[in-house]
Amino acid sequence: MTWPRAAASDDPRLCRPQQTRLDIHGYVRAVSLDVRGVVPTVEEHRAVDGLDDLPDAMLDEWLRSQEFRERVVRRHRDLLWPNIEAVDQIFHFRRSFGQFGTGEDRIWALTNQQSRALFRGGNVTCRDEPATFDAEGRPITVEEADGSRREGWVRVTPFWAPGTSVRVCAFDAQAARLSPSGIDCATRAGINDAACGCGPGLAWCPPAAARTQILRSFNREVERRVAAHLEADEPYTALFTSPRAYVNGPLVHYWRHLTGIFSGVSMQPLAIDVERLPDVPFDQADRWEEIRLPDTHAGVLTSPVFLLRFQTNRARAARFHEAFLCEPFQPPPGGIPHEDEVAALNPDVQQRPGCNYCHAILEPTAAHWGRWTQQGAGFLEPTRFPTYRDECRECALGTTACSDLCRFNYVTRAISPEEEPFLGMLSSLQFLRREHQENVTAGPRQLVTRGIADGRLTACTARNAARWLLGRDPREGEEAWQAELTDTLIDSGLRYRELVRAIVRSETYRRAL
Amino acid sequence: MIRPARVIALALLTGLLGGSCDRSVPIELEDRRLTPPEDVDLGTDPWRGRRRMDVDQLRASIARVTGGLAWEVSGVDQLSRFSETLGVPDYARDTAEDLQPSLLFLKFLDDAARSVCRRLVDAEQTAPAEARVFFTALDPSVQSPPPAAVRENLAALLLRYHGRLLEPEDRAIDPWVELLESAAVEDAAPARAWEAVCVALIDHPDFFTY
Repeated sequence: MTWPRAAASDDPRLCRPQQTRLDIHGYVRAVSLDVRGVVPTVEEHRAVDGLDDLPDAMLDEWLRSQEFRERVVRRHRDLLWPNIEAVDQIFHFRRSFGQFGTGEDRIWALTNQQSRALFRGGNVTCRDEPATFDAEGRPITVEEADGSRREGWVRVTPFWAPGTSVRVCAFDAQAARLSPSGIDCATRAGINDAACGCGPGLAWCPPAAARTQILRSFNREVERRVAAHLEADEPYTALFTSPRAYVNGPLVHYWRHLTGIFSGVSMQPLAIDVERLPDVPFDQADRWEEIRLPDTHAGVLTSPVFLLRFQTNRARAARFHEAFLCEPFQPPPGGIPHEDEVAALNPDVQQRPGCNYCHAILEPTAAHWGRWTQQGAGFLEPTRFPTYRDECRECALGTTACSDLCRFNYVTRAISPEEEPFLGMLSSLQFLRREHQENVTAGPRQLVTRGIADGRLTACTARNAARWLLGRDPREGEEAWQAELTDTLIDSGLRYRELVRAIVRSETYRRAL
Repeated sequence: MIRPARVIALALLTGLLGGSCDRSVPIELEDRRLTPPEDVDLGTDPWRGRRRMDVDQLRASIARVTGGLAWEVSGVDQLSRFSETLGVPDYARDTAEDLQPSLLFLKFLDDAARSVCRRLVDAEQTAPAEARVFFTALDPSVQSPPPAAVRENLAALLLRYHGRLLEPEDRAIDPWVELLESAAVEDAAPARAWEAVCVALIDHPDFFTY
């Protein structure tokens, strides 16, 4: 076939005219896409035909829509980076549960070989036959040629599939809370007790899919907070101060049954009141219930997903500085100097040449998370975790063995003389100057209060929103407009919706090139 | 600021080449010289960067213009499946969204367009007039609709897909008429030519940028 040669497609005069200011239809289309995430309907285009501007009522409706909330949630993903799916030690690996055998009704058992050996004296699972029990309720075992002793299976209704039953090795299916030796089977200690199994409904032994559901639920939880904040038309600061949080089935199960068997990442000491959680079955992942958090929380800044995505206090402070104060920590032009070799050995990075360029600010800022556990999301309540403990200093000096409480939360090692004065002190206080020590008590909320007071948080919020809606960084010469946007945000009582309205109503927005 | 005027014909050409063939059709290529673009004075006032739709906007907008269709294979949304490739960050390994209209983006966009357009145009062959969103100004079962109805339908489509309001007789519709006629190969059903128009509408920068 020959491509037909006609005049129309060659004639640039038939192209859409290049506009230095969008016509009403292009403008309405842009606003709709930014505010609702979708092109306007034909009816909406017809409704604005002949007008020069988007009617207030139409923009109001869009800004109050569910779609707008979803767009703002999406925008806040860029600030909060809510993905903790790489956190693979949210509960102990020795409690991981899997299936073996063939067919549809395969048998479930702990997958870890140490756990299998604890029950049976070898890395083996149970026999494929119903279990029998002695008079005291212990599984009766059969000695195998390899010396291991294997039991049969029992039927259990698992927490992840109510109303069904699965076959589970009888040792693994043990449901007692306390072992005969008095060990709490719902804790890490129970992992090494052969009389401890997976608990009622296998509550302490989640399959791999459950782990994914829990982590994704944490991701979604923080997004629900952002959406709810907009729906409630609260000041932007409520994002960092509101006690509102959410749980669904997987999260309720996690808080109730799995935080006690933590591994590398710990939620202990628990920062929420687990006793007051609503009853939501594990398989109801889409049923979300609102809960109220204690005053010690700081909204999204102490949400599990933020604390686990940024697992050190420095990382938490750095993200806050970059995302909400627009002040990323960057080395000076020309790189970090390190001419003075003696000074470079200073263990206090607030003073070490080069390091101090960032850490003089970063360390005091990080101290605001000083009562939140690193590699975890637990809260170190002041009465239980005072700023200094004698026992932790003594164990550091070698007179006694250090407890987990000391090792995890207090300074118990000094590898230089400068560190010795801090032995026995809460870890977050190490090298912290006296005037910064109150940051530990004040928590991340104080960062927000200061950011509002000195204008950095409000200016950054306006700058971030403009960057989102303009698709570019602010330029030289736009300082006055940026200040105007900040004023709009403040005058509106810090309503994010009004900030977005001001930007999309601006001539700058309408000039789309 | 000076920027060359955009040339719509190139996009139409791309859409036609990519969008209409079930089987191989030999094409005799011609050397086509487009008129050099004229520079346009854009002034110096502050401006918003024209942007590519993100994946969520694209999914929602394709659904809106097609009356609810999605690019799906075996019930799996393909824009979600390829979201990482299409620039959506996972916030673990990458944290910034890539909104470049890259070649890869255009390839997936074209795949999406072909998927939804084939189903849309075929479904509307027998749909009642009030249920149609593509053939709103003509009856698709009529083999040779009046030229005025064709132009009216194209005008309606340009409003729906590109937010461009034109009178049916506007000459800016000529390239789309030309595309339709070009795509109407002898032994194919007229629906296939309209399918090419649909694909070109979605592949066009006026659809996926704003």
